[in-house]
Amino acid sequence: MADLEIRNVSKTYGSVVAVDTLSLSVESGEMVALLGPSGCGKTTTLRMVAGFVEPTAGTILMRGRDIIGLPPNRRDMGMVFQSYALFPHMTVRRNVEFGLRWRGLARAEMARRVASTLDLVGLAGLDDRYPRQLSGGQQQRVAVARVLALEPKLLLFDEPLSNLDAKLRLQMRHEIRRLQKDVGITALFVTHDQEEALTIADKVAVLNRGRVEQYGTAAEVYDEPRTRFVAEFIGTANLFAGRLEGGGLRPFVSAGGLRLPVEVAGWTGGGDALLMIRPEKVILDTPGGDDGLRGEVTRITRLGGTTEYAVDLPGGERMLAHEQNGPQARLRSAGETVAIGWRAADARLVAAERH
Amino acid sequence: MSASGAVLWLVNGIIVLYLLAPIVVVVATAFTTTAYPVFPPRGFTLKWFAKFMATEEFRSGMRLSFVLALASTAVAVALGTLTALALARYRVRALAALSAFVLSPILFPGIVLGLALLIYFHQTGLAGSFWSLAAAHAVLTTPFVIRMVMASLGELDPSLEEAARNLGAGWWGTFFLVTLPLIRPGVLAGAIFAFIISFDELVITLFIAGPKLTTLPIRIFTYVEYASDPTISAISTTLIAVWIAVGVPVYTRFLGVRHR
Repeated sequence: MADLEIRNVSKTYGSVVAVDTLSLSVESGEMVALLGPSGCGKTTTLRMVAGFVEPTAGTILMRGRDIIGLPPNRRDMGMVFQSYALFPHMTVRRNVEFGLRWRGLARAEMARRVASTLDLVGLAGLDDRYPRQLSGGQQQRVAVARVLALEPKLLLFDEPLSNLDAKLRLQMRHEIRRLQKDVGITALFVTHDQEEALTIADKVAVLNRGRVEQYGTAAEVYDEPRTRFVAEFIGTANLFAGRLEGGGLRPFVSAGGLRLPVEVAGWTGGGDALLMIRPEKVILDTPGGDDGLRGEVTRITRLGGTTEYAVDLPGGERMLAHEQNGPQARLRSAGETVAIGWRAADARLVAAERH
Repeated sequence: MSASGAVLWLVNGIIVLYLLAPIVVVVATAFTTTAYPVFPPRGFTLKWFAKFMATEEFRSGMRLSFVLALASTAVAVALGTLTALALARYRVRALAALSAFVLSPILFPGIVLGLALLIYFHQTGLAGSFWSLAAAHAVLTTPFVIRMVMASLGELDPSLEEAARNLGAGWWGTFFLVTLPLIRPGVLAGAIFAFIISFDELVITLFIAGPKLTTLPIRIFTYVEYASDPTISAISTTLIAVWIAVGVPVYTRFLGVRHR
């Protein structure tokens, strides 16, 4: 049975719809990322789960029990805030103790839990510091320790890494993931950073305009996007509008009149569709047949380990190709004509726009 | 120093002098040996202070004003803090109108407020009691507490209160353990304002105090109607000394907390 189940939840502010009949179920011990641009409803959803916002419609079940109407302090969830929300007038120890004091623990048990949690997050010995005496990363750890000490039913993360610098963010990302796995507590993680969502979570729910566009593992949402929004929001995508015409190796005809390779097996959408191919799946210098696609390199961007080529295709369409800067790599120059292609199995068909 | 710097100092000096001059005059005249206030003072004596201390009317007026200021401040701080919390934290309908309404006693002329309260207390049969006077003073001082507390709340990250709720604290637990300690500077500043305003209040008090409740300001007011010796200067000087000894340290501590 799902640990957390959000059923047809909506939240409207006047005429503004923040969350629109959203449903999501999270299995026990899973970490699920709510990913989307600002204003997509991800934070509102998290706040409804935490109890800070009352849904306009729908129910939220925690282990089968309806928690709508339950005040936040009786939901047994631990939330890590974007600002960390450490109590500035309390020491690290008192911050971590704060949640325990409402749970009727004996003094000795309380001290033991505080010590073991601070040890777990690597902050042992900083008990008597005040939050302002800690670095950003240390404050983040206190915020995590404060909720882990409670051993709650659910962990909630509201963009907890967005105030850290890039290096620390990567480190804390792995650390939060490790801690969550170690304690085995189900978690929701709100972020607008797709890379963060893909690396930290077991499953990713991509949100757009208050709805779940797609819910699946990182590999699923990246490799098999079901909508144009998901394809474009996650990673970089080359998208061609067009339609399926007949069969053969190149059954897709783009709006620019190009015949492109894609595998059609299993496609149940109509004739109109979008073809998506990720830049890293594109092969330059394809040992092409006579009907091979050719294009002109118009822009070259070095991205460190890879090089990005913008290639103009006949018919006015443009696409991006990424090449590893490996020992065999040959840097191309602008204006060069390249043969371009991809394996049909690497391209995906995505439903054309609904409207 | 540049010419513009010199001008700046001069202007500043004039303003400070303008603000301090009345206080300096009052303090100086408290020590004069003449039977009426004169500046500069002649000679030096403490007999006006002695007379102030020896006069039962002044002593009882001081006691009453002190207790009254304490009581009305307690009421104003409790009401004002909770009102500020409601105005700052809840999406109240017609928020602007509501906050204008609760702050309006600041804008009303004292005479209007005094008359209104006099009529109200007479019709309700509460006139002339200590608590009606304390309530009247609280009406006047609560808006100052609201103002100060709202300023403090504006600087408080609302997610701190949410974190407390999330960690298991109820409404009151959150208020006493998280909100109140963090807005204490504002509450303290509001309390100081409320106390000073109440201790000092004359106009409304004249309307509703009745014969048995003679506060220090009323006593001073009636005293100067028939006497002109420097006792009043001595009382004023004593009050100024008390504010400097008690109020200033509290106030600087408040400012210190705020700028940490």
